[in-house]
Formats: sequence, C-alpha cells, structure tokens
Amino acid sequence: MPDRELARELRELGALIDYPPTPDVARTVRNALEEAANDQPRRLRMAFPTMRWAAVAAAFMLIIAVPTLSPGLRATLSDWFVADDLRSPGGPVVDAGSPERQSEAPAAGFSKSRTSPALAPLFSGERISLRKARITMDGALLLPRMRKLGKPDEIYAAEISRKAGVVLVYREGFPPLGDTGISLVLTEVQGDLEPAYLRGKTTAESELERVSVDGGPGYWSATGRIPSAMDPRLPGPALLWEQGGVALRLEADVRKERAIRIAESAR
Amino acid sequence: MRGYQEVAFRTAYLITGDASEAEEATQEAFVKAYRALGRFRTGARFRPWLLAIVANEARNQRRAAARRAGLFLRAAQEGTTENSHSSPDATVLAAERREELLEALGGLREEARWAIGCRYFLGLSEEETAAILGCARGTVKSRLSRALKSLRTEIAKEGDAG
Repeated sequence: MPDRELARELRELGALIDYPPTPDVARTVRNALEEAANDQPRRLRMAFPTMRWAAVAAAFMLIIAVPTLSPGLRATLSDWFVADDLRSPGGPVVDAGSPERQSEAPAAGFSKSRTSPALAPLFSGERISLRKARITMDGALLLPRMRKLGKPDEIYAAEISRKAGVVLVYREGFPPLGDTGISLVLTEVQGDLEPAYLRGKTTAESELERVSVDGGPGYWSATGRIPSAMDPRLPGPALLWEQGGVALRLEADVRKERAIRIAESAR
Repeated sequence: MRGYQEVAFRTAYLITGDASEAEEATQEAFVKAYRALGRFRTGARFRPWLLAIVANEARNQRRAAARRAGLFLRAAQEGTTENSHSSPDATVLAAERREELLEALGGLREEARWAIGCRYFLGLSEEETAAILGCARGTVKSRLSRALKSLRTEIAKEGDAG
C-alpha cells in the first residue's frame, strides 16, 4: 500500500478520536496570572493544585535517587516518570502501549495479598503487585505489549523449580481458557527453559514442537501437555521460550503463530 | 492564547489520555509560556514553540502508564458507530481495518507512534511536529517515512498471524 493511502487511513482514524470538549484554559490562566500578579506566592499556589507541585517535587527527588535504587525499583520509577524512548527535552510521548501500571497496589480488580476466589485452586501463591513482581524477577520481568491484553489483571508469586517466579493472569484479549474466565497466563522464572519447565525430561517423544521465538529457543504444545508436573494446568495450548535470562510459559487459546507473536512482543 | 487552546489541549490529551490531566498540563504550559515570552526568539513561529512546552508538560502529567493504551482503543470503538450512512458491511470492514491499524500502531516504537500522531491525528505541520519530537525539522520526514514503513510491517505481521 502506498504511503499516501496509508496516510489517508491514518487521518481518517485520527478524525474518529473522541476528544473531550476543549476547556477555556486561556481564561483560567489569565485569571491565575492576574491573581498571581497581586499576590504571587500565596494565590498562584491556590490557582494550581498544591498536590501537583508536591508531586513534581517528589518526582524530581525520585529521579535524582534512581541511580542508587535496585534495578527493579529503578525500572518502576523510570516507567512512572519518564517514557522509554523519548527522554530528550521537548520529546513527549504518546501512549507507550505499555500494559504496566506501576504501583504499590496489586493488579486491578482484587484486594492486596488475596487470591481471587475463582482462581484460588489454580494459583496457590500469594497475590502480589506488579512492582513486587518486578522485584521478584530482579527487574527482568517481561510483559507482552499487546493492546488487546492491556495490563495483567492478577499477579501471583510462584515457586518454579525451587526458584521464585511469578504468574501473570490476563482476563481479556483472547477467548477464555475453558471455563476459567482467563484469557492468558504467563509464567516467568529466571534461568534456563529446560530446568524451569521441562525438569530435564526429554522432549523427543513428547508433543512438543521446537519453535523459534525472536531467534531464541522455544517449544510449542498444541494440547498444553508438557513433560512437567508444574501447576497450574490450564485447558489450552502452551508456548515455552527463553528471553533475556528468563524462562517463560505462555498459556492461551490461540494458534501457534499468534502465541509466538505475543511472546515476541514481550519486553 | 484562546486561538491555540484547542490544539494545545488535544496535544496534551493525546499524550496523557486523560481530560483533566490534559487540562492541567495545558494550563501549566500556558503559564510557563507567558513567563518565558521574554526568551521567545523574535521571528520564530509561536505555535511550535508553545506546543513543545505543552507536550513537555503533558509528559510530566502522565502519571499512570496504564492509561497510555486508552486513546487508540477508544478511537477504534468510537469509529464502529460512525458512518451510519454506510452499508452494514462497509461499516464492519472499516471497523476491522481500524482495529488492524490500532493493533499495528500498538506495535510501533513510541517515537514512530508519536510522529504519526502529530502529523495525522493532530494534523500538525512538520515544524510543529519537530518541536514536539525535539528533533530538527528536516528529520521529521524521514522519521515519518520510517514510521509508516514500520506500520506496514506490523500490519503485515498482524495479517500473517491472523
């Protein structure tokens, strides 16, 4: 498709954006400036929320402190305050497409440190926040960057081959896995793929198919059966792969190509 | 300033994805621009200069990363109810194409996505886009060309993955 045609489609898409009505910012600003001229220190603070200045100051302090923090926390703070790709002055960013919401709170929908009743039989680990998950993974946590998925709805701590790992649960984006109401589960642990998920068992006669994920090793199981007894067992296919020193297992009711694409979006 | 407030607010909204944060960023930017008028270079164009300040303020405002994904999705959803004069089939096809484009945009680097956002969503000039991206004006064309190329690649991937 020529650039011109694609540009036309993008313009049409842009025209569909439902912008909120533009507020009369100019008047607010004029009033604020007039008031500030009369009584600058006190009134300007009133014209603009004090919390905002506090937040800016806190953000500044945190950014200053970033180099001394752990990698996990550093990544969290960087994501809070600075976009990934455009850090130069005048370089704003729109919509990083990140599913993360870096906060102390657990992933959306449930109270902290509680396992969702519906999922309790499947995920026995403690419910944790995304930030805690990052720390558990020493900053190496990987998240699929697919708009359909958004951020994980729930995250659980997990022990995988005697190592601390995490289980990310997504409820939307793809057809549910059986009657679980879960759309996708991503299990992560630091280390190599085979000790983590295959327990050293041979894959030669199993239903696993060797695949390549972003040039790295991986296995695909259309049935979801893999030669390990690791929980949880969900009704659907599974993809195993390694990336950046992390062994991952993805479970979702999707075709192999789609699963690989989801995997390759993780970063 | 009233003449600039719509484009300023929309720019901020595209960055923050939230109306109240966009409003706050726009206010903040207008105040800063007013105070910095003394440093405004004579002969330079005002709108790109102002939009660069707005974009910076909006970036500072954007607190919740989760909100980043919202706008493109919202645009797609809105689109499905548009064009009531079209045939049902045409509407469905258009909606699917929008979904495809949005999915592909989601796979782009932010730099590429923002170049597209400035030029095609906000309809900004190359000079204004350059001010917002913090790059030379001459670089905008090449960035946009690369962005469109990446977008086509993403669309093709999406098609292959079905």
